[in-house]
Amino acid sequence: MQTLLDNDVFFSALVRSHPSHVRSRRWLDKVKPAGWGIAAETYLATVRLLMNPKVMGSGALSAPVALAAVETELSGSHPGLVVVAPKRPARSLLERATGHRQIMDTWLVQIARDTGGKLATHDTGLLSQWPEQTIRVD
Amino acid sequence: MKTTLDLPADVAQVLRLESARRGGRKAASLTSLVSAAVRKTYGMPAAKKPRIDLTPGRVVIRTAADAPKLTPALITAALYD
Repeated sequence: MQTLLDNDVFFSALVRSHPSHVRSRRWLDKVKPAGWGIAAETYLATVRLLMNPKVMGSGALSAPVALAAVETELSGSHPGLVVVAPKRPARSLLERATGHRQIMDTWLVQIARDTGGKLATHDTGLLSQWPEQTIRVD
Repeated sequence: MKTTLDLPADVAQVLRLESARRGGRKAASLTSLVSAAVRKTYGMPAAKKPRIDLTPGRVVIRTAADAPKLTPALITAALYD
């Protein structure tokens, strides 16, 4: 697997009204043939967002529809993997987090590293902190 | 939303009779009768549904008309909801 998508890249590729949708969708379609995937955490985060009325308004999806949307994106001629972390969280990486919101991002960086890929993200902070383990979505 | 309505006696009586006519509270609760009457009278639109294109490997979801404008801050907050 070449590329592990972070939550924002995967969600924005699916949801047209997301400000990064066009960029994420185009980029994802381009990289899929080389091998791609999402962490189980990203899978669940996307389902949660699709079911959340604060995000989706009155059109919040039911669990079966949200799951079908994620599974359908992962299918097709270049199917994506759902990656379950192969190792426990690495203290040496997580200690570099400067706030609680960086813990999950750092965990995704570790999963990408441990599975031989890079984490695809829009997040400039992540890109500058982990230049060897991340790839910019543009 | 839970609320309390102070209904005139004649309105309450009509609701009770209509509920009984439709099979009782399990089949037609007072809440459902009032909701249906309000929708019919004031023309409230049904909830907008998102449009979902489920092409294998290429899903695109168009959110409902009343969905909020998505921002990174909103999504971050929702993930920590």
